[in-house]
Order: sequence, then C-alpha cells, then structure tokens
Amino acid sequence: MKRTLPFVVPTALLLALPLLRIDARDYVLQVLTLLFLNIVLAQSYDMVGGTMGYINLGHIAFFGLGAYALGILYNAGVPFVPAVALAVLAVMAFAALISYPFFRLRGAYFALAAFGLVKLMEYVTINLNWLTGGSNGLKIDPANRTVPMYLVSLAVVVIVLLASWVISRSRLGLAMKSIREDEEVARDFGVPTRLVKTQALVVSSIFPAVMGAFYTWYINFIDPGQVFGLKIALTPVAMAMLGGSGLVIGPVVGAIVLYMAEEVIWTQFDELHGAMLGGVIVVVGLFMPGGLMRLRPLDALLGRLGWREDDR
Amino acid sequence: MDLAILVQLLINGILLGGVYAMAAVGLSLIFGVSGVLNLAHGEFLMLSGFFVYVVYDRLGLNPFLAVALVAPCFFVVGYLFEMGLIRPLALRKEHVRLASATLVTLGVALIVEDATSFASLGGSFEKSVDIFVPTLVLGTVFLPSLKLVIFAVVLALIAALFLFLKYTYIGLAVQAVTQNRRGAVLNGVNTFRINAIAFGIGTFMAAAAGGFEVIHSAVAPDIGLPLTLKYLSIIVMGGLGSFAGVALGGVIIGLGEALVGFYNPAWGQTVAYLLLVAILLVRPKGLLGK
Amino acid sequence: MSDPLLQGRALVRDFAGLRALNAVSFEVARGSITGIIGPNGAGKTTLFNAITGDYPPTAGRVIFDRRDITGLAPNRICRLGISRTYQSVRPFLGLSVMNNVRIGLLYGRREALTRGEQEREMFAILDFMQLRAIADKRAEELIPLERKRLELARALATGPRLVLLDEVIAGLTPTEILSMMETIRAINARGITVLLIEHVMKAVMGLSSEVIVLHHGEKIAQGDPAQVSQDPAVISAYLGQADLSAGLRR
Ligand SMILES: Nc1ncnc2c1ncn2[C@@H]1O[C@H](COP(=O)(O)OP(=O)(O)O)[C@@H](O)[C@H]1O
Ligand SMILES: [Mg+2]
Repeated sequence: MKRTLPFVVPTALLLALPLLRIDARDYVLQVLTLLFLNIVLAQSYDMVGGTMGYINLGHIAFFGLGAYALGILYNAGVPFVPAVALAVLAVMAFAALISYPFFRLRGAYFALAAFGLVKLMEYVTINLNWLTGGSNGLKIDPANRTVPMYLVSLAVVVIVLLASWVISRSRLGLAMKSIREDEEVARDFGVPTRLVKTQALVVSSIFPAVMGAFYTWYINFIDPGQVFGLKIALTPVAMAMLGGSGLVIGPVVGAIVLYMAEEVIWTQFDELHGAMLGGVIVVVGLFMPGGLMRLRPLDALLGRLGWREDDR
Repeated sequence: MDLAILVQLLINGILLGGVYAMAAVGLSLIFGVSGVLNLAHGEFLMLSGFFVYVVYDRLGLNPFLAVALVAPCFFVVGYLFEMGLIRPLALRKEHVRLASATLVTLGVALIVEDATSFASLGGSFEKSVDIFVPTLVLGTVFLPSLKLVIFAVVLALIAALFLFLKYTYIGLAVQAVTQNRRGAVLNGVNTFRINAIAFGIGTFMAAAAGGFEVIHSAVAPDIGLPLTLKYLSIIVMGGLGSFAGVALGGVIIGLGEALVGFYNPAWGQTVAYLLLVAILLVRPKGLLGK
Repeated sequence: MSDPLLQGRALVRDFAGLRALNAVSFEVARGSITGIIGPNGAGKTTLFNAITGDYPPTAGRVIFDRRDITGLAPNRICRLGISRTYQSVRPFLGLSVMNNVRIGLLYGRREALTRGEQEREMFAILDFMQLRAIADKRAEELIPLERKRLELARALATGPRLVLLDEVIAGLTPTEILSMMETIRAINARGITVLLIEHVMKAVMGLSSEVIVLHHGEKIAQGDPAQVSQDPAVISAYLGQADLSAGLRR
C-alpha cells in the first residue's frame, strides 16, 4: 500500500483534472498532454537505451511512423480504432524487421544507423508525396480532441510505467540487462541475444507508435520535419539520462524535470531558448551520468519508499 | 542520357564530394580516436562559415584568405572542446559514455546553432560570398573554376593530413590509438593529448570545409546537425579507420546526390541516408572497414 | 578413452593470418579433472573459445557427449551443459550477485525451473560459493576474489556437465589457492567434469588426473601429470620459463 500510494494518488488527481471548470483548463490539459507524450517517449526509449544499453537514437522513428500510418489509414476510410490498431501493428512489424540488420551493429555504429534512420524516414516521407502529402504534411478532419487525448495520454503513461516496472523484474528484463553489461557473456550463459534484442525493440516500439497514432488524431496535422525531427529524436535520450537511465523511475522523472525546465526557459526568456536547453543538456551529459535518481538523497528516498532496484 | 550531361554531372558530383570528403575525414579522425559521435561537427563547420563571411564582409578580405585565417583558429576550438567536455567522460561505462557524449555534443550543437542564429539576426537568411570567377568551357562541358580551385585545396589538405598521419610521431600515435587504444597506452602514448589533437585537426578540417561552403554556396545556422549526420553516414559507409574509405564515401555521396538529384531533386538529399542504412545492412563495418 | 565427455578433433582456429590452434585433438574423460597447461599465447583460451562457440573453430569438430556441437551458437552450447569462467573475470558488473547467478538459472539450463526450485538452487549455489552474505551487492562492489567466486557460481547455475575454468587460481594468495582447489574438487565431486587452464603448476598437478600441454597452438603432450612432466618436448617448451619448469620438476 505504502509503495503504491505515491503512484496512485497523482494518477487519480490527474484523472480528475478534466472535471475542473476553469478558463485555463484546456491550456493546462494541453501542456500536460505534451508532458505525457515526452514521458512515454523517454520511458519507452529507455527500455532499449537504458535497460539493454543500445543507444537507440532512432526511437522517434516509431512515433513518426505511427503518426503517419494512422493518418494514411484514417484518411483512407478505416474507422479510427481499427486504424490505431493497424498503425501500431505496422510499427511493431517494422521494428521486428529492422531489428535483424540493426542489431548486427554495436555501440556507436548502432546509435548512428538508428539516427540515420530518422533522417531517412523524413526524406522518404517527403518524397512519397502521393501517400503522405510530402512536405506539405498530412491533414485529417479537424476537431478539438483535447480532453480525450489527455485521458488517452495519461492512460498510456500509466501503462508504460507499469510495463517498465514489470519488464525490469522479468526474465526478459534480466536478459536485457545482461546484454547491456556484457553481450558476449550473456550469450555464453544461454541468453538468446538476437531474440531478446528483437523482443525488446518491438516492445519499446509499441508505446511511441500508440502515441504517434493518437498524436495525429489530436493535432489533426503532421508534417515530416515535425515527427521525424533530429532534435526531438534526441530529447528522450536527454530526459532518460537526466532522470537516471536504466532505472524504472529515471526516465519519467527526467522527462518531467526537463519539460518543466523547457517551460521555464520559454516563458522567462525572450531569446536563445535553444542555447539554454543545449546548456542544460551539456550539464546533464557532463555531470550526471547516473541521473537525478541515483543521487544519494533521492536514492535514499527510493529506498524508503521500497522502490529501489537491485541492479542500479 | 546525353553523354555531355553525364560527364557534367560526374564532375559536379566529384567536386561536391571533395568538400564532403574533407569534413568527413575530419570527423572520422575524431570518431576513430575517441569513439565519440561528435554531433557538433557540422556546427563548427557552420560557425566557421559564418566567421569567414563576417571577415570577408566586414574586412573586405579575399574569402580564401579569410578561410586561411579562420580555419586554424578552429584547431584550438576543437582541442579545447575535447579537453573541457569530452575528456571528463572517458572513464564511464561504454554505453553510458556513448549516451553522455551524444548529449554533450548535441547540447553544444544546440548552443552554437542558436547563438549563431541569434547573432545573425533571425537566422533564416543565408550567408554566401559572391566572387566572380570565369567558368571554363570544354566543348559542351562546363568546369566551374571556383569549385575546381576549392577542390584542389581540399585535395591538398587531405593529402597533407595523410602525410602527417604517416610520417610524424603524433600522426603515428593517432593511428595507433585508432587501432588499439589499450595497446597505445601500454606503449606510452598519451591518449588524452592525442584525443585533443584529433579533435583539433578534425575540427580544423570541418572549419575549412565550412569556409569553402560559404564561398561556393551558402551556410545557414540550421545546416549543422543534418550535415553532421551526412558526414557520419559517410564515415560509416567508408569504415572506421579507413581514410581512403571515407574519402571514397564522400565522393560516392557527392556523385549520388548529383546524379539522383538531376532526375529528382527531392530524392537527391535522401541518397546519403539510404546508402548509409543499405551499406550497414550488408557490411556492418562499412565499405572498406575491417 | 572409451566414451569421453568432450572430444576435440583436429581443431584449427585462425585469427587474421595467425594460427592460434593447429590440428588439436584431445579427449576429456567423464567425471575427470583435466588440466591444460602451456606457455602464454599457446592457445589455451582459444581452445576454450572454440569449445564454447565464442570463436568457433575454423576447421575440425567439437564432440560433446557424442553430439557434434561445432558451430552451434554459444547460448545453445551452454544449454547443452558446458559453462565457463573467464581469464580476466567478466561478471555482469551492474547487476546484483543474485541476478548474476539468476541469468544462469533462467537462461543457461535446458529445462525451466519452478520458482521454488529456482530459489533453492540459488541459495544452494550462493552458500556453496560463500556469496550469501553479499547476495544483494552489485558485482562492481565485490573484491577480486569474490568476483572469481561469483563467476564460478554463475557457471554452476547453468547446471553444467562440464565447466571450463580459465586460470581461476592465478593471482590468488597461497591460502586462497588452497581453498579454491578445495572448491574445484568439491565441484568435481558433484559429478561435474572439470577442464581447467592453469599456470600454477602445483595446482594443476595436484588436481588433474590428466594433463594436456599446448605449445604454439599445437598439442605436444597428453597424459597423467607425472608422465607429462617427464616428457622431453614439454620440458623444452618450458625452457627459459624458469618458474614453470621448476614447477614441472617438483
Ligand atoms: N580474438 C582474438 N583475435 C586475434 N588474435 C587472438 C584472439 N584471441 C587470441 N588470439 C591470439 O591467439 C594466440 C593464442 O592466444 P590465447 O589462446 O589467449 O593464449 P593462452 O594460451 O595464453 O590463453 C595469441 O597469439 C593471441 O594473440
Ligand atoms: Mg589465456
């Protein structure tokens, strides 16, 4: 009970938020929706990046692909719910397909190929004009979906957090960690590394795919630079690391902190937002390899809550 | 296709590829020695282009002289960049180091881009240098002489780097570290210093490329990251530790962009990434990699 | 040998122009402790890697329990009942001692264990290797001797029929050596065949019923320890390595 309270209470409060009758309600919901999106991306990125140690700089490709798949299917007349399901399945199939060649690469080569994939997707989307609308983007029937999107995002956040937690304590999660620590040794002790890596990538692709699909539905309009951007590709990495990559609690904390920092920067300063964000990212990379949640006081807090993990 | 057009495209492609090759060789040197994916590489290129423009514009200097003035300063920039921001990451676990370096270099990239765009007032306008040089005409083929001059300088710089690596003590140490870091340490090489020198030289190469970009085409604040990715594609294509491979990769990309771009400009820019992914799938260690 | 547990047939392993193993044939008897000795660079570790599939042999066959395992993936070979330790230890540094062992329990065995069996095995192994008190520590917090014991524990967790021990005694103090030798005997007493690489001659000679000698990638002798230490080829291979030849003559 004590262990679940810090999780259940905020979730319940956030769930009740749409009931508020204040003017700024929609604005608040929109801001939180974007935060939730960031949490989902960071948390699912870290399944492969933190738990398994493969720095997947191309994680955002799953998001963009889900977004486009939904848009295309929906505009082709597929009803919304089946369209989401199909979009997510398509992304999972894509993840399974690329996992074979990509996971022949290690370390920086893997990171780089995955990063290249983002740019490749952007250009391919631009070039496949007839299908995607090219650089003009893709529209679906406009509607205000603020409240349902908020609730869906919140639900996905809860699911991705639970999934991370379950995975980190599961047989699969242990294999993923062993791959992070030493892939050859893992193989020597019976871990079918190929299979595990594919499973991890496919699982991690589900969440950005879902968010991508709903994102198109929510925002009504997407274009290649927006969903396949190089900079947004890298924010989940920064968030995960800021909070504590490889810890279940890390990415979500990092996402919240970095997102808030961004909000502050944008509202408090007129210029040089990018540079300030860059400064924050440099500081994270330089001074906080373990992230916030591995700092002694916060680690102690986790210990008191009973949330501390054995492998950290 | 008309033969003359083909020849023209090949020439354009090779001239384009030369500048790519130079910046990519610089990045390859950095990656080879330090194992760091330097996401700020293209940013230094852009920044140097910006300074070259300013020197040319404000002081009225010959743009080539401006490059000769600006680019060497970037050796110092690269050297200090390594000392201050990359070296502290050295002792981290492999995947943590990779993620840290990604963030640090990305953060620097964001800062440089944003600051340049701020300093150039808005950032959307492009910096370019007009110098009139007559174009040589051979039959039906045009030889853009400005690009030829640049190409010659680029070749000279790559050759100089090659000789440096082959015949100087530091050059040999750089190669030793690229091939086997532990072994180099055991043989008394100061790898920190070598890392810094590699960053210095690599950044210098990028800076020179940036100067040339600004002379023959244009430089805008937001070109950095996409360019970095293109160069990274080239070095992966060429294979780690193989400068010949990287130079080849640069020319392949240049040719590919020129040829494909002739038929379909949109797909022209896609060539690099398509080739990157395709080659990695077939040869995980790159074209000429071992 | 009538029915060896492990058999190498004309094993060859090349590394970019270097022949690290050259037509090495050998047999390891069921239930034995067999030693492998040879100067540095002789190819001993390479032989282990060829057996486990880490670096599969360039030519030749590896037969384990009458089955040809040449070219199988390391994870499959592990499940067939071969596990190992590494010359320079490689525990999963970021994982707890228990999770290091758990990898072997969960993935290294052919049949799945129930939760209860898992727990029982886990604690049996931790007790056996004297790791129980530090079971919750991460491997990176352990001292070198504990890391070595952890490697052994992880190897035992896969329920092996054959363990390959690569210089587990090297670097230990004399008392630690004695206790490690006891441990190896105890492992063997559980019916696990042991193939061990050692530089400490006394240990090899004291433990092994059979010794294989490698030199420059070739097997130059195999036999019982007394016999091998008299072998002129072996003595000449060790010539100039004073400590080792002293050990041989002792
Ligand atoms: N992965 C490898 N790549 C290249 N050469 C190797 C590799 N592993 C071993 N070698 C070479 O094979 C030879 C035998 O090495 P090894 O089996 O480690 O010897 P040892 O008997 O000391 O264990 C050495 O010359 C070594 O350099
Ligand atoms: Mg050895």
